Amino acid sequence: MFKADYTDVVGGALLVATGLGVTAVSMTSYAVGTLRRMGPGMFPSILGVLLAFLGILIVLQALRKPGRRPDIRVFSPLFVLGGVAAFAALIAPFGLIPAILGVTIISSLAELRLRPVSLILLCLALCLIAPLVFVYGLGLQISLVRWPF
Amino acid sequence: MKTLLTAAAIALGLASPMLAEDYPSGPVTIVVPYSPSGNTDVLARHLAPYLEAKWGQSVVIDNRPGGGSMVGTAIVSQAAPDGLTLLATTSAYVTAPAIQKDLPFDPRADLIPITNVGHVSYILVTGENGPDTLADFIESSKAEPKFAATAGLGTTTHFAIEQFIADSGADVDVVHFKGGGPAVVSILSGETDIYGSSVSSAGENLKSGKVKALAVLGNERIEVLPDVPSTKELGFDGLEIKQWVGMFAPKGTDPAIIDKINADVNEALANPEFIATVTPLDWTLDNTSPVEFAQQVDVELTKWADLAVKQGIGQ
Amino acid sequence: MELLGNAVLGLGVALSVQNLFYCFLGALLGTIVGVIPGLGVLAAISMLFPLTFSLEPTTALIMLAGIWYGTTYGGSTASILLNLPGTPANAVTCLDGFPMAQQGRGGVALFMTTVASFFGATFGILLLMLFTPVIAEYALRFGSAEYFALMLMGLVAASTISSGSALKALAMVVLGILFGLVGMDTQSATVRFSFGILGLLEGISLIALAMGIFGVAEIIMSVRRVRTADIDPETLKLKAIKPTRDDVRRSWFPMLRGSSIGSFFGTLPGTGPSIAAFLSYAIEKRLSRTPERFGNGAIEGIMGPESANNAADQTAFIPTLSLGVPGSATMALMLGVLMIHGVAPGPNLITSQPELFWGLIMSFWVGNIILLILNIPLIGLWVRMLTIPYHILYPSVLMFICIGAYSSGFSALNIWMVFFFGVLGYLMRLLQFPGAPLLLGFVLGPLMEEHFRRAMVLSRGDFMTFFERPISAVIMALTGLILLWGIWTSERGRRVETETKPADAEEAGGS
Repeated sequence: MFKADYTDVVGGALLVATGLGVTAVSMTSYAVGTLRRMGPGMFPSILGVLLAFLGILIVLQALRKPGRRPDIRVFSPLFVLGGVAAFAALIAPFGLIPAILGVTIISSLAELRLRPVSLILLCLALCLIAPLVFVYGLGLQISLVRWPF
Repeated sequence: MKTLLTAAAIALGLASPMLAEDYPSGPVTIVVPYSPSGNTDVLARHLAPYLEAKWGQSVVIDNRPGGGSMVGTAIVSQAAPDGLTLLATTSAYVTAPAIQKDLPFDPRADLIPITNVGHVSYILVTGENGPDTLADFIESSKAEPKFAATAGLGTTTHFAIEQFIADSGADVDVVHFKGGGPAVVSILSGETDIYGSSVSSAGENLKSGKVKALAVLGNERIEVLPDVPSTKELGFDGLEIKQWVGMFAPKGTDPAIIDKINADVNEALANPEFIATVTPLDWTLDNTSPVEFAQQVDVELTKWADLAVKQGIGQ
Repeated sequence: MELLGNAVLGLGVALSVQNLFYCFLGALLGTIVGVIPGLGVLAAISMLFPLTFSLEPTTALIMLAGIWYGTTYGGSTASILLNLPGTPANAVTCLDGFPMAQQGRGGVALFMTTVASFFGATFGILLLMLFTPVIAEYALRFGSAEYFALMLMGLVAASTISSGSALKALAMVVLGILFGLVGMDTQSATVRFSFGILGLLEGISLIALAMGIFGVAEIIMSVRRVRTADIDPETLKLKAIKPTRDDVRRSWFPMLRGSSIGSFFGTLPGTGPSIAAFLSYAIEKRLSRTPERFGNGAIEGIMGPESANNAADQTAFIPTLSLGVPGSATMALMLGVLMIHGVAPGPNLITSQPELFWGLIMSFWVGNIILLILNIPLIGLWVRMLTIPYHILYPSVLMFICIGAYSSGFSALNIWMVFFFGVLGYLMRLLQFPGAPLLLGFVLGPLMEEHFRRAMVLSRGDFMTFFERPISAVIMALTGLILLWGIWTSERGRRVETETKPADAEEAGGS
């Protein structure tokens, strides 16, 4: 237990920063226009200020109430998101099968426990199901394996 | 100049006769920078089997939507210049550069125009309770300012209206909608007063009289609407706009290959069976040489860029 | 009598062997597409679109329509069992569906959402049969001012959607709107917040956003925490899908209200099932005498939205078929099918192509019955999905999300967006910000801006336009009422809380 709800303080502060950033970018890069012909910058400028204002309110509220320590993990997000990134990086140059292997193998490491047999079986199964459903079933235009070099 | 270019093309063609004769050496991909089921996609899909029959290779339609057709266009501009990756796109190719800065390709240099496949004519329409003639419309707009709908900034429908305003001096405020559907609805509901529409967008509403056609934006009347005058007849010379679909190849493609594709596509376009399939979809098919199409693209790029500056579009 | 004749005519078309087969195929495919998180109906229909070249237009439409409404049936499955929505329209079903599954009532939730889906669809189809021309007329009265008023009402109602801090929910709505603004501005062609990425010109993909915030973030939170052994084997038996009498009693009005809301939003081009589902949830929570049950497995919280999104699916065909105006990209695809075959949709379609119109509508009914028959036995199978060890389940789900995101737009950029929103979603979970308001802000915000700016142009800068146009004025007044009511109920809630608390303490002290 903390004296103040630091989670919300951080969250509110992030909102303030985002809001001010959005407003700054909108006011400087896009035309604000008039009320009759609003420019592309007006709506986001207003929203940015609103977001920052809400952020301040959240921080103020948080300072007056106790909070808990959030359960932050490093490896779960790292491996799960790493799997998604691997798929994104592999699919265009190398094709579907390498991308599937990438996301499956990397994301299953998030368990922090290697199960070689079940992992190999899973990879085999997914490499069989996904092309069946997407490529042959739905006609997704993508090569299964390719070599870009 | 034209003969010179043709001569050069023939000379280059003779220099590498093998390549053009062998073409295509593998499956051909036609990139369509729009989603499946759009006008362009449908036209390309109808065309593909004719090219397959001619070439003895499979012709694959690859939809690469995004960035108002700019994503797919950029992809083809970077493809290998072997004629195996082609682009089928619309007049967005010439209108988008007029309003979008920082395009990832140069529309005059990075792609070679092959042929204009066909075009759709545009008509000026108004609602059920609108005036009956274009002259009446212009007249009444001066008494009470009107609203014009577009299918979005920088679309063909937008340029059509801007050109109309510039040429007629009508007092019209432009309102942008997201796509042709909502624009037609705004005409139906009377929220806006005029819209430069393709015949198919106005569709059944035109037949039922819920939408009235004021003029065809062009030099001639069109077959499906024989009673609607052309803008030229009404005294607006040069107020001509149509949406076309054309094919392009990456720069550096052998001119002999360009000529071969041009000839083969035009042959398919002349096929009565093909004509019968696509005419009901509003298409008027064209027959252009690569040089003619290149000139057309060049002229239109300049025309729309100038209009954008003049009317202050996208500033 | 004429209606009966038309219905018979339509049934004749819909029940031909070929059409029945394609209707079944569409419904089956739709269910599968719906269950797979990340694979959206638009992507699925786009991919299957070339197939329809060789089919009769009626048959082609029957199949594609089957996928369209089948998806929404299937979409609730993943929401309930895995807490990740199969489609964005089912996102709100997670809020109470998943808690029900955790309480061992997953089977009941699946059964009841199937019932709600069928109920909503039937409601929508009835409207479609009886009032298509009338509704098409009234949809025309909605101009930009009216749309803006509706969106505003949606967002005001949405600020109450999640349990927890209203400030945080509101902040997430605003953030969602900002994400919705990414891309090319329709009114000025200015590209906003795209960071020079060409693919962002058309904005952020809804599927990628929903899958990142709900799907990827949920997986990150559940890894190494979910134990399959926790599941009580009793809850897997077929009889465990039987709802209690209390469940049934609580479901009637939410289904009725949900269907009405869904039907209404379906007919307005550009709005659609997601908004209908969210609003239905907000309204159920508002009307409930026990709003604190929402978010903890309240059956009303799944029945309303699931009937709303299915009703909207059906009535979305009204503007598409009778005005020739597609309400969404998916409906534009359906129009494309008609155009290819030379059928022009519009006010005369019903009289000029009665076989097509009535055949299609009756096929909706046939298709929904097929879905009902298909889905109830499948419940047993889906529930068993929970017995799959999580270390096998989550990489598979992640793979489906990735392929699904890729298939909507055919570019790796969409997967990177899933990645980005996965990071954001995880951060939001850590900082305890709710995801549903962000999603609704994302869907509604850009529409709201577009309509507001257009309304201002059309009124030549007169702000009073929102209060002078009668329909808009009524909606604005309703929005005001919702706001006032919200303040009043929360005030009353606080007073009740303070009054009862000391009593509770006394009791506790006395025992």
